[in-house]
Amino acid sequence: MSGNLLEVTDLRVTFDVHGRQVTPVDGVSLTLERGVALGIAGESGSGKSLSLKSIIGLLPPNATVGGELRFALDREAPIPYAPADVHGHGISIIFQEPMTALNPTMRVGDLIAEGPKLHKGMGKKEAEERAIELMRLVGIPTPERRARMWPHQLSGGLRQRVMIATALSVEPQLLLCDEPTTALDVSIQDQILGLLQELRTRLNMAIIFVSHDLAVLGEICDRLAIMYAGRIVETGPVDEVFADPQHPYTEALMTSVPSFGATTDKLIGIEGRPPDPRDFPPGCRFAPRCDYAQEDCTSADHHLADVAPGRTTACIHPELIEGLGQ
Amino acid sequence: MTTPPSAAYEGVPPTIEPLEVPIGERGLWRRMPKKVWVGVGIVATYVLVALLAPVIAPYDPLMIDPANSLASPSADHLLGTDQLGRDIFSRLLYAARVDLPIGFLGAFLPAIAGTILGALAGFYGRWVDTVIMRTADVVQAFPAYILVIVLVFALGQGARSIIIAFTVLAWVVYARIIRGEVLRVRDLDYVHAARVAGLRNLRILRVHVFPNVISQTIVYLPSDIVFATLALASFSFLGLGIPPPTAEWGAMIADGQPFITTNWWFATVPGLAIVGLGLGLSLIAEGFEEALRG
Repeated sequence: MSGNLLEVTDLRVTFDVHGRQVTPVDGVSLTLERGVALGIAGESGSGKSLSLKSIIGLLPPNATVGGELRFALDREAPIPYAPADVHGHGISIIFQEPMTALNPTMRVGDLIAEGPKLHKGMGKKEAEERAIELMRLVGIPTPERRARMWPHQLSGGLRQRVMIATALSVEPQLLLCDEPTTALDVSIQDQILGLLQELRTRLNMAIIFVSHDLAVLGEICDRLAIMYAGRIVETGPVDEVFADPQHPYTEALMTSVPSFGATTDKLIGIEGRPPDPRDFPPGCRFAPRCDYAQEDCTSADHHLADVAPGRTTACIHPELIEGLGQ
Repeated sequence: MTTPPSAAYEGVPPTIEPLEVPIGERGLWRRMPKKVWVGVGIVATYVLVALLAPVIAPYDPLMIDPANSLASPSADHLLGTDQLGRDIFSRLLYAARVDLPIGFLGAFLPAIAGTILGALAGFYGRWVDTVIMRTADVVQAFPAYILVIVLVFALGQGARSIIIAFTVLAWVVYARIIRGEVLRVRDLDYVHAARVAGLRNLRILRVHVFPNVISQTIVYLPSDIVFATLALASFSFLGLGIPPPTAEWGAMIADGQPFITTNWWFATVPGLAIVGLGLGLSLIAEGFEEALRG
């Protein structure tokens, strides 16, 4: 199957903070094809998580969302939607914290059965069977027994699997992942990533995976979008972005992460701090921290330009980037 | 891309994770400290006395015997008689039939009302919140005792008026506690997840929010029963509670007060009855708090 599943155009999230407008997500546009896994990388505060949550309408009440969201349910072309339209239909989300993502007063089997009961009109018995089936699908051993358990009786990894099962219970075509592996230890993290990868292929489900962890994104994603200060600064296939970054921020981000096996490489931090959303610098927002910054950078309009097939960058001087190869 | 999807899908290799001993709901009761059971024992005794008063009491609590007024404790009258010659012991037992129901209802009704209103205010926010919480402010702005006096005058003296007055007053506390809790829980991931799953507001509130805030009400309720009982005694003492000649602890204290120098037990014993009930309920409240708040 091909065709766009989700189209986000000029997404803006604005908060009114003591009478001042703060815009932590400032003009994000992205398209997602069916079955594709898109990763969104960025530092804390880059707006990646807010962007994800606005797709499904989980922003705090004092937030205003601008721009257009279009989603293709079933096989039709993408049409504009309000977040409430896709609740329980087509889009699901999984969260970072397995501790707070499961209702502590419900047995996990009942929790998973909520969706099927509501949307498939299943009876109690049928929904319970469906819940056990879903628990088996996400690799929970002895699901019949665990369905009767409370969340506090499960380990972090199992809780995360329960959360995924709950998300899958409404048979989504798009699964939003808000750093679902960050709170897990590395071996469990690997299992969950493997699980998501399998489920995606099996269910032909698209994924948007938000994380600050490039290694995790590299493992699960087809395409990558790099966010900085509320904007997407670069997009492209994961391997190509990793091999040949077309934005200085992407490059800086990668040199600040240790790569496995390369013991001699120095880690290079990014000078300065991410800008305050209350006071973004003019022009390219990365310019004040950029090694390649030119005079015209501080007056450049934000615009994602094609640099190669399937690749875009917001940098106006991508030719200056030396690359990682040295 | 590291894990190629296998053709024969058998689920992801099951992970062997340590399994905690399943404790389920029963765990909560097992976690209750001993003091809860002591408290329950005390309160149960009071309830039993109230139920069995007609059987245990040696005299009719309303029977006047002017010839034998203000008698000292004796085999005939365990705690002596009051100024009208009524048996104090019998009156003490019968009073439990008045004080307990009013104390419990006077706490349960505001607990129910306040919990529901607080949950609605916190969950729906906006004008629902404004209306409910501003009403709470208004109620709280009145001096409590004046409000009860006004209500009792308006509704007529008696148990019903007292319970209504307590409900009108005390729901505010529950509403505030629960509203705060709902505000906290409302933004937890599992509530967001339920919303994304397409559950309706009322179901989210009932299934995902309510069970997670209700413990606050349960913790506060036993101490509120103490307050209600004490308040009832105070109003009766002031002559605003249960009209005579019905036996009631507060009224008995008031009756006994003039004779405190000669017949000290007259006013003291009903006071001790209230203290004992308060102790039992406080033990329960404290134990609940330890068990539920960890």
